[in-house]
Amino acid sequence: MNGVTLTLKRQPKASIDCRSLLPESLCEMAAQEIAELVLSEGREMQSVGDLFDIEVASGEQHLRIKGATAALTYIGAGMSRGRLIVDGDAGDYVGYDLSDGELIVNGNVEAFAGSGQKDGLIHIKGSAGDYAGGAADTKMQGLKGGTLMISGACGNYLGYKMRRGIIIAHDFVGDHCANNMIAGTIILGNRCGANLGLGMRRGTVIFLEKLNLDKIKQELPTFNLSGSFSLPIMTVLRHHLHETNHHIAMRLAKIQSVNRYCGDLGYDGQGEILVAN
Amino acid sequence: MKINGVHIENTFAEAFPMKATRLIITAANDTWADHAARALTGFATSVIACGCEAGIERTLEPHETPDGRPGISVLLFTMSKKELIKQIQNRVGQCVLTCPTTACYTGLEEGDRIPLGKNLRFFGDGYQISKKFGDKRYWRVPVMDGEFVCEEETHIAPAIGGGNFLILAKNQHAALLASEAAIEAMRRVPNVIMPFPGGVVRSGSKVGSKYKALPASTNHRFCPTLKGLVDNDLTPEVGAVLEIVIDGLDAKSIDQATRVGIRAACSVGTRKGIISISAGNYGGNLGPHHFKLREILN
Repeated sequence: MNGVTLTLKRQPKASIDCRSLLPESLCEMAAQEIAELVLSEGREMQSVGDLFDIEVASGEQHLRIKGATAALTYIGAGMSRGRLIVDGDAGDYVGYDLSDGELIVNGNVEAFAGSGQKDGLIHIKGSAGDYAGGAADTKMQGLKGGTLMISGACGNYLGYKMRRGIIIAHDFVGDHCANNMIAGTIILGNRCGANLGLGMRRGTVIFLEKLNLDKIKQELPTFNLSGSFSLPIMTVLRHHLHETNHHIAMRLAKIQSVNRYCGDLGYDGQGEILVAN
Repeated sequence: MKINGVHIENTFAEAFPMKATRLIITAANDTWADHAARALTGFATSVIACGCEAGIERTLEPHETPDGRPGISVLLFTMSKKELIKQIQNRVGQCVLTCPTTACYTGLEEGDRIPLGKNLRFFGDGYQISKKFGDKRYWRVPVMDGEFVCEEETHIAPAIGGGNFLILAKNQHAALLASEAAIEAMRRVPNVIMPFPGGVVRSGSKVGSKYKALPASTNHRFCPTLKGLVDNDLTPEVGAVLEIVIDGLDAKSIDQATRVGIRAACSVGTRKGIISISAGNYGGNLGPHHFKLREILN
């Protein structure tokens, strides 16, 4: 097992499908073998050696992609183990169907980040586009497990049709958050746009910020307030996040009780929106 | 061998393989955690008629529990995995779920998985909520004071039941004094419980009976009131015998509990009426685990 670093040589002419650049396979290959792998750049096929400078070193076992841009799509798609670090931005479908391992993006990503993720951790240190943790294309489910963490802002449809797992969005989130959410947990460190929880079946959205209750009533006409509760499950969640996301865990620790809104009643939903008290 | 003048007999306790699990019960405060734990471990002195042997292992500080509230860890022991599953479901369902403010989690991280809240969740009648954090699933069952949170599964561990020692004293008062001292010391040992009332049993039994329907009957050779009537293991000065039964998750823990228990019992001393320490066995033919008193105390 080696540490592999790929540095993008030039600006891509079209989007490059990176789904075959996975740590579990590249870390076991020699530089020459990696160079001979073929990727599609738009309609053209290019070898990895033509697109990237390749550096293989013994020591820390991870795959690092340097100089990444939004033209690199499907980074970490199908990844099943290991560690993948992206320095720069990434395109659509980062961590698509990722089943385990750790994927860190030191930049912004486009749409469908973590779509179909089953386990492991995706940490996007910049902002994410639409449908982060959401169902892609004709898929029935978005995030299916693991943790998707977004330090920057998020686009629309965060957690669309999410089935399981945890999404943590530290900054502002766009419209239609938790739209048609099936289950799972979304933790929002800031505010979100319109139509929160529309069509929500089950699952939990947690607001770490205190919000204006009157405004919530106006914005969530199909959610009913159950009351204010101190829920033990919040501490269980805090303990779970303590190691992976200390900052969020500390914010959860400050919440003594939450206002619980149930819905989406327009869809016979049993989801919940918990707002810090 | 003597400790503080108390004779340690050259004998051993004979113990059996069992199946066990550890549960963590939390509540809004110590009182309600204690109520639930005592209810769950009630009527669980012996597998002969209770289905399981259970007891409180220790109290837990809030920082030691999954939900940051005061808690109590309990251990349950049975002869089979099937019976353990049944006992957990019945006891947690009737004694913890019903108790205000409580939640229930596994206290073991290894071993075969068995249901904890997996079936109890159906009490939620469809309103129960599943939360999966990492590889652990929790059930949130709506109840009248809020939610009953219960981890979906616990783990099963191979364990040992029936470790024991006997305190032979001049009279009942002395035997009680030594037993209480022993139990107080033994409760500080992790991984063990003493399942009988107050940790002490007076009705030591032998296998079989003159009555065919009974699998066990009084251990007449240790009954002081039968001295002079039947062959007896008691010296003339012994007026009362009490037994401490120990169930543990491993032999090392039972060793430790036996050691600290006997030393505490002996610390009461001969002047207050403690005569000797013995142990119950069946000649070594029944249980594979033998706890030799003198070896443990050395």
